[in-house]
Amino acid sequence: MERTLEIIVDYVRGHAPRTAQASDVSALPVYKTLDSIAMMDFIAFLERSFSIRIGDADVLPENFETFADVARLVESKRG
Amino acid sequence: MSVSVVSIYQEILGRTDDGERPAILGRDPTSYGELRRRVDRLVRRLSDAGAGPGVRIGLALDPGIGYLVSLLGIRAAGATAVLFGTSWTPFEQRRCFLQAQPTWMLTGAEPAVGETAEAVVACEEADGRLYSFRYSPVPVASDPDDAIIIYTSGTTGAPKGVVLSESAISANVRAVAAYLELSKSDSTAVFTPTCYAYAVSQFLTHALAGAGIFPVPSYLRLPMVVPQACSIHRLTGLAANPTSLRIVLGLDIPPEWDLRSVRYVMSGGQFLDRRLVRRLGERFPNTRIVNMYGASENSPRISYHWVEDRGSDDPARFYPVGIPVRDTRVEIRSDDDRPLAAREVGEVVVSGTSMMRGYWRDPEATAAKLRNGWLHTGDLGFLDEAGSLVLTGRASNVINVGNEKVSPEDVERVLLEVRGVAEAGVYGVPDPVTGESVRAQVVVEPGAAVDPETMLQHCRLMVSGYKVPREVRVVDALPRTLYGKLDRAKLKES
Repeated sequence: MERTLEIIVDYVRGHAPRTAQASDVSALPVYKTLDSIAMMDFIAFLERSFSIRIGDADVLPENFETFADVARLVESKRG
Repeated sequence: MSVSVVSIYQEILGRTDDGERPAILGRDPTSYGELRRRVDRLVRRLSDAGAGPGVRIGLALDPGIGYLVSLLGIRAAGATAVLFGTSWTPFEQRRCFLQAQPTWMLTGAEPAVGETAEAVVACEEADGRLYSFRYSPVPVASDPDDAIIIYTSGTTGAPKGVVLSESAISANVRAVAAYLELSKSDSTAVFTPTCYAYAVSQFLTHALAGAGIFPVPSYLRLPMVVPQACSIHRLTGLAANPTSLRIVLGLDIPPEWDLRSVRYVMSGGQFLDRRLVRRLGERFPNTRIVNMYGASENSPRISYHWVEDRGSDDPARFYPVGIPVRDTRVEIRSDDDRPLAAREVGEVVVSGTSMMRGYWRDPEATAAKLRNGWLHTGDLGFLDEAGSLVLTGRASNVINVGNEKVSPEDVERVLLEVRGVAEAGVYGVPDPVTGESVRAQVVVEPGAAVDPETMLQHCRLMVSGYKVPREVRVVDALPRTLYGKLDRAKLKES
């Protein structure tokens, strides 16, 4: 779980637009940090990195609010 | 122009019979009574700070109760709201900031405008903070009737602030609420960026009708929120451009979600084709579909058309955008500005009570677009015998990426800032997910060593993510017309 979290945080930090300050990234909901195109890239990245499939119905705010939410989603798909 | 229509702001804030009725649905449900109490608090706070008629206040908040409170409160305090995008880069924010010169900014995140705020005040009632700025010399005052300034990049790429008066907005909001027959039993989801006139119109038409608003602060980054909200909150209406509607239709929606409450889907901003209408009817079984045409300059709705059939498999046949909204007139003009007869194709021109006062501090742009009270839209079309407008082409080159608009000139200018780039051409290509995506071709100066990755890095720094080209190709020459202008049609084909 910790490694999963690390990978997720690294990705979002690296892809957040310049408007989101580095210190802000963890304060903002993940879905507000990335724009719509970056969000699609992020989901594709998760699918590729963790060999999972994320369905449309998983892409809801409750799974993309915090980094921990995303990590939990990833873990549940791997399980 | 004098206020000829009763102000919608006064009507929404003066109502007393709907204190318990929900205004905002979803995570932070808020009644109309609570909305008005929060607006009162914001008005007091702004007035204490010295904000009144003539003052401009930048507003950058995502869809939510705070946005609606601010939209109503800034105006109720007598001030003018200048709409900023919440995903704009510092460069984009600063450009509009310098042009608009707002004395305050009401936002959720610290404004990146290159100036340090003099004071910061928390505004819990608006879910944001108020930052104050000082100018020397003192900026010119707005007209006391100016309610909102909306920035549009237009065809030249320079930001232009569309100034809408309280009377123009009131006229348009009333006209839209009338043709949609909005009532207190209606509700909608707002997932259009809040800096667009389209979002303002959705919020204000529903507030006027006493209807419910489900704000989607994640916009279409999490598109599943839209059908989920339709099912949970029994939403009655949706409004979006065809690209956004296709994104929603492309979702794998769980069969148990009930979408039968949606009674209308409004499409605008791009051509509405028959296949999309058929697919919408299949997904939303009780819906009627209304096509519409608008421009920020007309607050924004110009015309509408209720689709009478169920569509077909033909993606190449489009619907008309219909008859003008109440107190708006549409004509078709020739190149020499002569009115044309039915079925003759020319430029669409518009006038009426919803028209902007002009572009903020830009008399040249105003004179070019607004002539003798008629807005020259730059769009091409004709009127049929019944007076219904059919658009045949858009003179502007706007690229639609998801529910965002990209002006190619905007991105071209940024590419040209990169040392070694001699020419740049930006265009949209079809994209299965976002409708269109941005591509660029550039010509580099002889002997210059500049690679596409450097250009992309500069774009990422300067413009919002959706505007950054997905690909930059270095070419020997860009296609040009006989007059030496960039040939945008050819650019797309090459």
